[in-house]
Amino acid sequence: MAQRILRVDMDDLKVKEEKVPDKYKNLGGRALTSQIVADEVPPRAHPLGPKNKLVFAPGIVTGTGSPNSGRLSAGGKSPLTGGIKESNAGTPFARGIARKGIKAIIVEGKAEKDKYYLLKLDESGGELVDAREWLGKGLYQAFQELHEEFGENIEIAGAGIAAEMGASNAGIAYTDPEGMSSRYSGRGGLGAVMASRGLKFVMAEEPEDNNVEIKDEETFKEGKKKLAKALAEHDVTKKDGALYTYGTSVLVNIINESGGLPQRNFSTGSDDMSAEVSGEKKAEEIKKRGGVESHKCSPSCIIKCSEIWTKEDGEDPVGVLEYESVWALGPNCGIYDLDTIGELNRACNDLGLDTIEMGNTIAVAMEGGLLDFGDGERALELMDEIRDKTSLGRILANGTEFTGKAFGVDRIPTVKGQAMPAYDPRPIKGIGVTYATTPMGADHTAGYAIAPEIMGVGGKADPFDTKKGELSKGLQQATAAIDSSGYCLFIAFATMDIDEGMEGVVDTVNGVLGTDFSVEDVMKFGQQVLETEREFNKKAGFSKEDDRLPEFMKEEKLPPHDVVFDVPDEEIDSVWTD
Amino acid sequence: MSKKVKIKLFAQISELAGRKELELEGEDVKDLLESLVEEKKALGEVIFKDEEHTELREDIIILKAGRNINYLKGLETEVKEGDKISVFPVVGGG
Repeated sequence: MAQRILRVDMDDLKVKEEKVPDKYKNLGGRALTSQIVADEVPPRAHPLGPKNKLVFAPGIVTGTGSPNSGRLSAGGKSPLTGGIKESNAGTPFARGIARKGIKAIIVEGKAEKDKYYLLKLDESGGELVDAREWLGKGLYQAFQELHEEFGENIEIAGAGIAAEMGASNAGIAYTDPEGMSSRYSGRGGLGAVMASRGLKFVMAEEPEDNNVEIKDEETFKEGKKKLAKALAEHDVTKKDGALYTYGTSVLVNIINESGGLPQRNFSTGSDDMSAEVSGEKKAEEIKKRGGVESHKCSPSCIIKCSEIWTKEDGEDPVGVLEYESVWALGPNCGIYDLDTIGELNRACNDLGLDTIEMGNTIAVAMEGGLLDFGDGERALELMDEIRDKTSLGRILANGTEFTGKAFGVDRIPTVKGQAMPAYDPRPIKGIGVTYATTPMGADHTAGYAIAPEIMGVGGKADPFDTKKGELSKGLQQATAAIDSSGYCLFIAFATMDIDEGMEGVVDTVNGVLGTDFSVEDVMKFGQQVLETEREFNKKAGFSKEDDRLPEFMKEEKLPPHDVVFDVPDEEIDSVWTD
Repeated sequence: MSKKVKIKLFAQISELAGRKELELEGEDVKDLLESLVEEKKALGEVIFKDEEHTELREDIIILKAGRNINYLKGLETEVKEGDKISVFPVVGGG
């Protein structure tokens, strides 16, 4: 079966199949969603209006069975940033649509007011079915009911209660291998783009035949071997390595010790209590309670950085507690208890909210006096305000800047309207340059300078050194390419250090596409994606003045190192001008 | 004069050592790591590349007062009374 694009017209409620145009043939994942958005969405379109579009695209190797190839991109114009957004997720849903031979799903138009639909993908395209019975329901329950009605093997993408309100922090939830709503295209409010089209769910049953075409099997097999070897070898990605044993929360202690783990709305970079919510503590607890250590988010993963967190009695699984979620809902809110964090995470998953943005929102609300830092109980009550769609709930569901403004806060840790992740840029300058310059808004995965700056992986860089333009640029280029490939970004820990690993990635891509890319082409490919995104943002009204960190981070010294963010503007701008 | 310094161990390093924290004495980071290996023999080959303890392994991160010793004076980095040394294996995440 040839690959095809599905165009879902929410005005006519029709699903049309289209041939893949030549210009999209060698694109996938982020490269494809960003290109389609750039080609079809007017940059000044209202993000919730009829001219915005939501694009799903699996990566180039997604569904092939290559190790760690379970990723999917969702893209559109972001209601949170007002710029272009790609939000990458690891989920069996990715393979579900890739194996149907679907290159991309473009959701456009807008259904009638108060009408919501479920898109059931089938062999000939798909059909739109009334989904109003699931309005106002939590996603854990909705996913369960969808499985009961449509079968245990279906994979789901869903917009939750927050999305129904058009909230700027609404993410898109996906099934994990257990069928729970714990995987996310979290950042940037794409859930609101989905729901504002009138689309609640997309469902795919994985087909019996794998329709992912591999043009050159030999080259693909070679590449798969090389990549698997590199992943098994590297300290970060290997079995019994740090990610396997402790999950991403293994970062809590090292970032805390480095003085860069933001506490209580970015007011200090370290706190002794942080150890209470570390990866080591989490692993200890999971051992005691049951739950699952070393879990994978999608079938082909061999790194297994995920886990399943439960309540103390081993019941009521939440899903993974990522480093970012633990930090945002934890230390950044002055909360140092994994069970409270687990419940806040559960609420985010259930309501369809990005945890990083939600944690920052609560922290800013704490600073604004709505509740005290550390008050986990009240924070949970605020999540119920969102569930009940109250006015306060609507404020909070719209993210950090919106909430900060409502409560008169002047210390807002955002760039381009998106809240910062779990690394303070003042003592870790390179990640700050990434936050400032990526087209995505404050985003750590976009150019993960933490690897060279803190871990010594993919190079070695002093986190206090301000010359970071080149470092951030290189990482952003490589990342844009990996985000398009269908591979999990964590392969980069291995491929940045082990040349054969990167060769393996390129071989598998060439194997699938029948192309002849070299390792050198990877950076060029990434640069192309970034230029497409920057061009969109420019037309949407962004300029270099938006590539800046918040004022307070340039003035206020962060303890314990007592540093400000002092990377000169010229150095920041060199990312895009050099 | 030897300075009393707190050594904090993390992830697999603390599992191997059977503890998370200890107090040791030394002039510089090399002294302290050698004392650490004296106390916890199992850490010897996890921290140092060689038996003479002249080189650190590539997959070890050592912080002194929150700063990576690679950007201070490496193993020769001096310590003050009450300083904190943090020892990590190479970790990753997002």
